[in-house]
Amino acid sequence: MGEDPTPSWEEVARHHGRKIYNFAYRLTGNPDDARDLVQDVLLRVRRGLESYTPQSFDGWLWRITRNAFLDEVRRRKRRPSVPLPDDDRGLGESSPAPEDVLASIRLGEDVQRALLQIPFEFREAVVLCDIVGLAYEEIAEAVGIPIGTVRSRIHRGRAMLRELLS
Amino acid sequence: MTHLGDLLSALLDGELDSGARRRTEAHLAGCESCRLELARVESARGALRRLPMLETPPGLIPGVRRGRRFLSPARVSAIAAMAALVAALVIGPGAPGTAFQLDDLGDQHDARVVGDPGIATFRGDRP
Repeated sequence: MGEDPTPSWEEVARHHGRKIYNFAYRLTGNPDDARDLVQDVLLRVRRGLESYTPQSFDGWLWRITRNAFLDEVRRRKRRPSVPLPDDDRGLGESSPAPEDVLASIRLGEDVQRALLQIPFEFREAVVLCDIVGLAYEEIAEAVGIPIGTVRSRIHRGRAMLRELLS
Repeated sequence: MTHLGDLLSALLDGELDSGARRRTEAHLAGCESCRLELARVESARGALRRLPMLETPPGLIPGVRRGRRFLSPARVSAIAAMAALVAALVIGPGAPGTAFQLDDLGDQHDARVVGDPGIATFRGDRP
């Protein structure tokens, strides 16, 4: 394929919005945060497209997405912390019904919980690889790390997940 | 010989060139420990890739209005029937040039309207 022509903002939103939402959701486990991030990213893409020169579009888009995500995380750190809704989970809770357990496995809630327990740089690498579907080179470009580091983060991230899921 | 480590993930992801892939596969054939590690990372990779792709909330993506419903024919006829009933109740039966078919509920309601002296006065009926 040759150089991609610059896509319109609407095209970016339509073609990538859902992946951006899933990226943010899997990193945070929170639909409201994911929604805010998509809005923020689309705003930045709209501004950024004016100066975009054809290159690896995915690398460019995911670098913006990642930076928006990290900015949001930094902003939240400065605010007084709000307890997460699942902080008091398990207090006097009876064991869930078997059909609830099955539904939870089907929806991947166990995988989502495990994802949230591994350190950010590994979580980010496996999400970009296995959820977003980027190649190692695109991940290296988006995150700004060498490709060897991408490979080791993905591998270690998967190994940590496997430990947590077993 | 050193074990494969992160080459295993690269193998699964199709990120090795043909030479590296051949060497990796040759090592795997003779190394139980690396085969075990491969199975482990493969299961985590599979679990991630099987996660459902979530829909974006309605209204978030411009031009994509998920959850928007167009009126189905059944709904249109239900609304038309309701409109006819309301019209019948407001105009009342027997108005010149109108013929309504009311269901039981409509008839009952109309009977109350006709029987109500207040409404009868309002409509100009003589009791």
